[in-house]
Amino acid sequence: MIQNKPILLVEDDMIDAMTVKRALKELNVVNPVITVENGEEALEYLRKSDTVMPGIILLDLNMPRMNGVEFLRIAKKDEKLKQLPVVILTTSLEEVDRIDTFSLGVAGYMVKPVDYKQFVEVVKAIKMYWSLSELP
Amino acid sequence: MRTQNKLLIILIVTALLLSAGFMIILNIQKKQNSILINSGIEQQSAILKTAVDAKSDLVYRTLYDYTYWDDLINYMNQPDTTWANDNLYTLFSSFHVNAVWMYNLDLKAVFEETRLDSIRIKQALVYKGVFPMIYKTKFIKYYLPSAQGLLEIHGATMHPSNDESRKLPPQGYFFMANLLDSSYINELENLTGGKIILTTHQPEPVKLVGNRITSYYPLNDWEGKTVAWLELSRESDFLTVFHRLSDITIWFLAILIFVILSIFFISFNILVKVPLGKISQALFTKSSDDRMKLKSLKSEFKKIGQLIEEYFEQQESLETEIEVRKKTEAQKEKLIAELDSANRELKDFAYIVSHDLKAPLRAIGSISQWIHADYADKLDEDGKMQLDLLLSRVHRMQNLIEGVLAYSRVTRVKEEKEAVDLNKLVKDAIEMVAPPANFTITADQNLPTVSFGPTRLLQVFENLISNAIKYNDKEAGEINIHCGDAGYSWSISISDNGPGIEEKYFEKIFQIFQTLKARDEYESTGIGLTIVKKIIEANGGTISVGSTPGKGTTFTITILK
Repeated sequence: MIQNKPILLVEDDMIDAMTVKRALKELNVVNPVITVENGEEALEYLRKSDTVMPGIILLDLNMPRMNGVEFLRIAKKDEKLKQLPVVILTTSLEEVDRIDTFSLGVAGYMVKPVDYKQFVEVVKAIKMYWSLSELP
Repeated sequence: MRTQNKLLIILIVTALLLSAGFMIILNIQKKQNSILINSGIEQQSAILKTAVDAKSDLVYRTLYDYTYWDDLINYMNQPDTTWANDNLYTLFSSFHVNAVWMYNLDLKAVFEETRLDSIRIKQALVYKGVFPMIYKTKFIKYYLPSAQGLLEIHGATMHPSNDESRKLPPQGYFFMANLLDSSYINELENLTGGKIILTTHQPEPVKLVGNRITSYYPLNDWEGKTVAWLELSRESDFLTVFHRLSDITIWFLAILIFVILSIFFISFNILVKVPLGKISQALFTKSSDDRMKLKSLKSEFKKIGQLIEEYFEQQESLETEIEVRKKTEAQKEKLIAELDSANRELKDFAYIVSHDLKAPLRAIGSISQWIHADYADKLDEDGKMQLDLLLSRVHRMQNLIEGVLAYSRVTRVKEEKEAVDLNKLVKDAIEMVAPPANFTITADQNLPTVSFGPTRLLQVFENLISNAIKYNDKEAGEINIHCGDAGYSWSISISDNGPGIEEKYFEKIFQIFQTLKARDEYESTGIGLTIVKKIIEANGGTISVGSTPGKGTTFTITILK
């Protein structure tokens, strides 16, 4: 994908992470994927001085220690982080979650399908969006 | 101020008024008494005077007869001892006269006789002043103190019998004297019925000692100077009677007042003060001892006592009831709180479980597909088919989990009610379901506007319409939506011309995960109608189903107006 910037995947489920990576590979996305397991680790990674800022963050909502919404609340207050595009990748169909996250300025909200093929379609949509959308 | 105290004051005032009345009566009695005494004194004075006059009258009559008697005049001119013996000395024996004197016009004594010893009658009589007086008045009566005692002297001018009216000048002077001795006093006492005392001391005006009235009769000498007094003291019978009567009256009145007041006081005490005291005591203290005393009350107070007791009992039972209610309320609140937390936990549980079940399920699904793709050359047709079956079951379980989540969402997530135009809502629902071309869906033109959570209501119509489409077995499917007025609510029916449902399944279709067809035939979770029922009932409505197998089914929901 553009600029070869890394993709930050915030996901606690190992197989879900594998699924995302496999789908990206299948779609020939060569950007490096950095996987962290929760919001805290994500913040820690992003605030490290030598970190190359990711081009996009794929964020799960239900995670231990710091969930997706909590992470967003902190990240969107941070001058350095608030411009990073965040796409939610979750199992939650809850209206509340959609409203909360869009209020916190996410770029997209994707529900993880059970079917792997559909999953690949979802990742494809993210790739398309990210490739076409102008970013700051 | 307590009522009994007020009554006590009234009693005291009554007592004072009665006493004042009693005093007035006493005063009137006193006045009556003094009037009676005065009249008694007057009467007694009159009696004394009458008695004295009666005594004098005897002497006066004799004197009167003698002094116009020609023989006496003849005797005066030619004194004759025999005649004097026969006629003058008889005066002493017959009339108890103590002295007799006769004087001619020259004031020379013709006859001078006295039964009193050593009395100097003559000197006593020759007060020159007496004769000119008697010359004018013809008769005279006066008293004269003497050594023997007080003399009552009667004098008269002497006239011949042809001059009975004593118009002509007198021929001489005739005097008779009577000593007021003890026999005279006794006779007076007999006449008056009282005690007579002759005194020369100036007496007290009028005396009253007890019922004994003392009155006086003054005795004057010829010059009008009082020389002695006759004192009559007499027990006054009527005064005695009157005093006794008035004493009786006063005592009677006093006792009557006392008795009335006593009766009043005692009956007030027994009938009013004591019961009222008990009542107010019971009302103030509310103690059971004082309340027990209420039972001894009589007549109206008994009823009042009963009412008070009833009131207390009611109050107590109310207090107990309140106590019980408070406890029940507290228990209820505790139960509600417990129920609430259990409910919340259950909701959270359903949500979390469903949610957390999805991740491993997805993993199974993904990995089965990866195996399918990555090891396609190593799997035979059976292995591939088994992997496909695994995947289809993963999908089914996914649907079940979504169903549970959707079901729990109905109560877990609150939706604000707003005015929902059913015309628009039904149109939206039809659009979302996207019916195939062989379906005609008709709806009433003027569907009402109801107060409902719009997403929920949309879910209801979507479910019912999509069910009607999904199970329809006719070539040309028909759905009709109709609304009727059912009083407090709207009754909306969704009818189709599908296969219909047998009556024995009417209940089952609303139960969670219950389907009438095998899942492999119709991929259905059996959650749709359960959610519809829950949404409708949570908003105070009802859902019912009617059907003719082979011809169609009608679902009827009611929504509060």
